Amino acid sequence: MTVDVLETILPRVTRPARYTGGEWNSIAKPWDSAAVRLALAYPDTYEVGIANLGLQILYSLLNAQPDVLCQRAYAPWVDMEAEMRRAGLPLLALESRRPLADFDLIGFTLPYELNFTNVLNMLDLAGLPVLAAERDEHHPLVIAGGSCAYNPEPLADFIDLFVIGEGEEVLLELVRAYQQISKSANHKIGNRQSAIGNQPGGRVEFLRRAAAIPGIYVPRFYDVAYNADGTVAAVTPNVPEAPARVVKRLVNPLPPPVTRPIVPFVEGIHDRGAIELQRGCTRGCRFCQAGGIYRPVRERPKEEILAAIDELLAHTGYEEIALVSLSTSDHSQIEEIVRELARRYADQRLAIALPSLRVDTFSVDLAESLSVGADSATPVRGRRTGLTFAPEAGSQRLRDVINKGVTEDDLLRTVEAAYSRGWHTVKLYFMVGLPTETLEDVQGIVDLVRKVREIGRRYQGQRAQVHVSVATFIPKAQSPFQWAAQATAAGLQPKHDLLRRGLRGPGTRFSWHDPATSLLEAILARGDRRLGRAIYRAWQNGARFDAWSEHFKPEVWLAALAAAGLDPAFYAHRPRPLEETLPWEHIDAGVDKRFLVQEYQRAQRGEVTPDCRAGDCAACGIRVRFGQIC
Amino acid sequence: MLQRLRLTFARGEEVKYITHLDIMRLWVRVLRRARIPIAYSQGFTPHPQLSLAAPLAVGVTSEGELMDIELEGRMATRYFLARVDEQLPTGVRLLGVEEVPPTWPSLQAAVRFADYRVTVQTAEPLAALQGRIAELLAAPSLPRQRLRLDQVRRYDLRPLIAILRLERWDEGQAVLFLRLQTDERATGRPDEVLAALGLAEAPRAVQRRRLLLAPPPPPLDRRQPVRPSRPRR
Repeated sequence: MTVDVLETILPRVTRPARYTGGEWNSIAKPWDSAAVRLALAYPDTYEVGIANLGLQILYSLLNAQPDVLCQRAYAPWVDMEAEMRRAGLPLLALESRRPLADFDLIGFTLPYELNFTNVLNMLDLAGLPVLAAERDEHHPLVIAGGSCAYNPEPLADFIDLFVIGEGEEVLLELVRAYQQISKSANHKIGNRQSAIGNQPGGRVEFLRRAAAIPGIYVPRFYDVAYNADGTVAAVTPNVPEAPARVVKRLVNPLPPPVTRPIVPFVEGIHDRGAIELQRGCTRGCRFCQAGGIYRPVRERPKEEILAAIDELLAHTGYEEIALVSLSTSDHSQIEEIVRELARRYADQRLAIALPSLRVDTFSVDLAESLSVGADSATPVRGRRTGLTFAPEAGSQRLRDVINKGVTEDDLLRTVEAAYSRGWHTVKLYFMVGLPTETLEDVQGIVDLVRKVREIGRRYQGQRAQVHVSVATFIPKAQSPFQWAAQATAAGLQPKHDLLRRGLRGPGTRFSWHDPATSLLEAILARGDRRLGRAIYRAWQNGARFDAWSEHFKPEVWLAALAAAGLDPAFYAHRPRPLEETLPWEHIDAGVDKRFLVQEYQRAQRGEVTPDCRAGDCAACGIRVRFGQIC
Repeated sequence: MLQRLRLTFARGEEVKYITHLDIMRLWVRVLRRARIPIAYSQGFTPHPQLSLAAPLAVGVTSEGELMDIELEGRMATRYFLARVDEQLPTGVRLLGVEEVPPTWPSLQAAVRFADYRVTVQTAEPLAALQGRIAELLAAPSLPRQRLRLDQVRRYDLRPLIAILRLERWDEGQAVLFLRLQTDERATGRPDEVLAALGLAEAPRAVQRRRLLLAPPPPPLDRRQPVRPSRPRR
């Protein structure tokens, strides 16, 4: 029935192939063959979600289990949502076209705060109660993980349990625990209704068992008390199974890379294969959440990477491959890897992308040996498009504050190398609104770009281009700047004006992030449980696809926050005292709080902390917590 | 180019919503997975040398898509077929491969007509439908307009319809056969014909049956000695 309804809808929506599945390497196991069925849900469009490496990893891992079935769903675009609601068609899994509500578990990936309303919307489209408290034994368990789970509190009302950290092992443990409890409840395969025991209490019983698994956070088993001023007083477990602190999970060594990823028919935002060179980064940029939560660094050996690329290309037919890492140039064997790739695939017109290159001439050497652009790859022997670097701040003082170990000299020598060796375009990423920032620091961006442009002119004449992209700094949980205030719109205005005036003229392109979006991101990134009410209300009043400027409705959000009695400034613009209990204090990313405090204080003094891979251990706590693996 | 192959393939229900560009990308990946040595164009951004006769509209299935590909090496067609077949996603079926001379005009230049079978749900009585078809065919012109990239394009649909006939009629369902001009100048669209018949909103299943090409140029007689070119003045 549902399939017929889908068929009548599809001709009326944009890009219907987003909803029909059947992609190469997608896996559609027979429904009745599995003991546990899990749907991975991505709270953004198909095009964004299909490019997500984490989802591909979990999909491949879960489907590798003979008795587990894993399928996918992405957020339907607004036209599709309207058609689905009109026709009463629930959200379906791509592979089986079964309603998501038929699955045992629904697992959301949470890469970005501005996807939160899509989580609610997808649950609603699936015909499920949006609030965890309103779901019972008849509903799938709704779980979530990803970088936003490091502050899970804003979504605590909607999610049954969070996976903190890397999912590769803990997700299987969770599935097995689920299987056990459903077996003991005489679960019949093929009938989800009895999955966690049709008897009342089965769901809670399972959640208690799950709470005892390291890395699993079940929000309902924690009570939050607030102070009179609205700050968190304490987060206390209310069942014995729930640990006071949930420590993140990590896998070591990294499991083999995915070599049979789903190859979409529709073009995704990155239309290429991806191999994770390494996980983690030790550079220690103080604004960076990823730099903390993905520690320690775990490199894949060169041979494993090269073999995986061979396999991946054979299984996908991709013409481009990205060597993915938080800092690609930091892999200890990157030179050999790149040289070998250039040699192996010289005749096969393979483009190799090196995202996140460090600011140094070594990176230019690397890119040159492939003749690729840093984020926009071109085929071997192809044209040189652009190289991208991220100095992040305009003055040396401020770069020291954020611990971006880059000097002006580094940057100028790097861009000189790029322009002199044939690149026309250099892209630079900066942030404004950083702690301690003044107008002089922002003027530093203008001055730096001017110097870069002059160098470009010298080598490339009129063809030289500098593209400057400026984001608003957003303090994130689990980073040294988690206590810092986000700049207000009023505070940002003169900085924006200065940049707009300073960064015009031939050969310079300037783009700027919308401050209203950044404000919402800041609120959600460091919010507490009370934000759930605002998220719920904003969603009810039409907020979804908040990350898409054409759908972002700041007024709906402001009204929702006001209705929930919450002050945006309390979450975004308030410097938080070090002694304040942070809403995510019970979520442990493995990096010591002492280290974060120390880094925050060093930032105030403009003191840098060198990369520990190059020398002294900075005592971030990872080694103590996880053994000798950093 | 060492070899030019002409592929005939089908696109089933499973892949009827993917676009022309999607199907091009799909084929590049299929051929790369099958380790077929596709030739690439010269220049700054080399492109794989593969070309489809005529784009297929989104939502339409086909039993007779045509695509030429150029190879850097030579391959037996039987071997090609076996290798490529293993790499096809569900819904795409390779129906045939033949070698064609590199001198033949491109598919886009050679294609003339496309045949469609359109199954359409309609409550209209048989006589009324037949009357409309006759009326449409008798009309000297059928001015229509189409929205393309936000621009209204006016054109005459009538000369694009070579054949339109009712193949079958059951209560509530009609099966039409259409032969529409499909060449470099103009492309007749089944949906437009349905709209002209007053069936714009009717649910339908459209299938392209085959593409008709202009006859190939006469083969070169290999026994004839190659004449020296005349000196030019």
